Amino acid sequence: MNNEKQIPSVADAIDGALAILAELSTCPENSLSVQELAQKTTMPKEHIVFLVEMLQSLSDHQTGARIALDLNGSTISLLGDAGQLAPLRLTTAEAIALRQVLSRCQIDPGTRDRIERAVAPVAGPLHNDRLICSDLLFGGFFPLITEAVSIGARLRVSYRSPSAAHPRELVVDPGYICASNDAAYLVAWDLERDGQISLRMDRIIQAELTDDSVVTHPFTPYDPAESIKQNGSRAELRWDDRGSFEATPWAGIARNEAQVQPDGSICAPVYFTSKPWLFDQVLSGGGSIQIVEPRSLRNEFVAYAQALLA
Amino acid sequence: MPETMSSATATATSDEKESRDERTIRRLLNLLFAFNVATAPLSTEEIIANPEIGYTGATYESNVRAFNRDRKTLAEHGVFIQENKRCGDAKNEHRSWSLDRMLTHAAPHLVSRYDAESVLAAIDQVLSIQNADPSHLALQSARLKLSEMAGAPQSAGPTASTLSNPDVPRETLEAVWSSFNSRRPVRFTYSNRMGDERTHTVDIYGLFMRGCTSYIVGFDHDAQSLRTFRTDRILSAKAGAASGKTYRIPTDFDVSSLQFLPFDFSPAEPVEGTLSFPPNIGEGEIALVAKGRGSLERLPDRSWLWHVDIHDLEAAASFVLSNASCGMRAVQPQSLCDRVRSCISKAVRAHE
Repeated sequence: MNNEKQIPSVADAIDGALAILAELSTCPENSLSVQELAQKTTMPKEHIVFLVEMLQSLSDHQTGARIALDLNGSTISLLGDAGQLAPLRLTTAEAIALRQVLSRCQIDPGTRDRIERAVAPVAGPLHNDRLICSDLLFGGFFPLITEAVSIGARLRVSYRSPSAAHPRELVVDPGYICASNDAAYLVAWDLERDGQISLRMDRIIQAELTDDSVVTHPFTPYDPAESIKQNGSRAELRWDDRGSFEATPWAGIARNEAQVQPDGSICAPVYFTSKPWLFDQVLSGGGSIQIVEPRSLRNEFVAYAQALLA
Repeated sequence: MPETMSSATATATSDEKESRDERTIRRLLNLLFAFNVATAPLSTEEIIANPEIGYTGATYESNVRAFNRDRKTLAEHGVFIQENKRCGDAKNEHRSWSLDRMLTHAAPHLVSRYDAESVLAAIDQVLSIQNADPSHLALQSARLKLSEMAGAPQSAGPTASTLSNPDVPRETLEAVWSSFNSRRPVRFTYSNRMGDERTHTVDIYGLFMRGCTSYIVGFDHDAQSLRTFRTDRILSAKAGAASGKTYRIPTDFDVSSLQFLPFDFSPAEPVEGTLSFPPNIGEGEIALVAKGRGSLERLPDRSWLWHVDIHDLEAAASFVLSNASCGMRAVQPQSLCDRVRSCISKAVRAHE
């Protein structure tokens, strides 16, 4: 970029100019504010103004046509037909990025096919899936769940908790989707329990729309740690050293209440919603993590561990 | 061939105050505009002689070369100017060009409103969770094009500010993404999990996303081997020069085989391990744990065996136990089974 005159790079200028013309060609009344264009194109306002002025100066020698762009205050309007630009296909880089999203969100094959035929580059190879991949963070029902959220439809879901032998069925009013660390959650209202619930989307093993509409619920922003604290049980755990404590990523650890012991070990409260899950994590520490309180939980843990040895 | 020196001189005089980049931008946009409004193919001569487009080379041939470079540049941005060839044309027939609208423009009639809204919702969701994913910049522009094509409600979607991670500058992600796409080495400063900073030069072979974190995998020039890096730990990056040498990704490279598991981080030679899952666990749930690594085998009793290479047996034992309640068990090698039992025994002793 030319820092003296604050103009975009050649590549950004071409992309930006195409985006400006395409946006103005399709938006209502062919007008947008500089602010809106800057937001949509993620370009600085100075670059938008530079490109608008550049586009205004273009003319066609053959036909005499000019791009009629009016910059009136902070609003840019496209007048006439000469500057109209039909929607463009994606570049290879854009198509690669989109393909990953379609896969990760499990968009149905028919939709994927239509979208790719409509917008993917016709010419040139795309990357194989062997070069970019992602996990199924959103599980197998993202399109249906987002549709339910969008149209306000109640959902019937089959959900498998990590330690449950069998999935449980529940009817929920979907609220919103959020992600934290390694999981995405559907925050919904459990109608049977009449309370907010967060369901890991990759543990939803079946979902279907019902004929019922949602009702308004007092949803609150979801915070995994806060949710576990409110809905879970509390235990006091001990880590042999600071290193093993800090390497433990559990959302239920109340780190601000952790205390260093005289021998260098760390004790901290831990909130949890599943005993088997907690016991598994303590086991995986190979003795470096211990349950201190409540005593009954220690005893349950020992019984659980000994059953695995049997 | 037509002489264009006089018009070229006039153009050069009027553009003296523009920078070279500005002249290039103006020429490319004029070329694009000329073809967008053209109602008939344009000949090479018409293009070169067009004073508005501005080919100012010393000779006709140099201007033709410049035009071909510009066509290639526009193609990289999705605008295709193609030659009109007809059967029976003589080889030295004057060439003509037009905008290939099928290659350039989207086909919105193929897509329903439901299709567009589903995909836009998916894009918005992905954009909202990962702020250090190099592909997000391309995804944002893809979103813009899709919403234009579909005439979908112009919801703002994630804004520029939400795309940026305060710890990873936008220019850094751009450098990583453009290096990957152009197959040129990227040089970046990286802070490992201990906070140590080092500079790496890497040929990026692939990217993978795990949860809310993105990783690049590539050939590290100093280490002379494949390495994996978290993108949110890249402090700064610089893409290789456009004129620099490109690299080739090995044809057998598959990034899905490099999605790491906790038992990968050891220099020891891998041993083939086998872990089992009970019948009531679905293949999808196993995929969450296995991350596409190894191979799955279903037994007659509907239980599962997962065959996977293990570098670190201690870490593998810990991994098995962390998934014990979903039924994961170690099957082989015996040394792994022994380590699992040892782990359990130590944990029990620590509670006595």
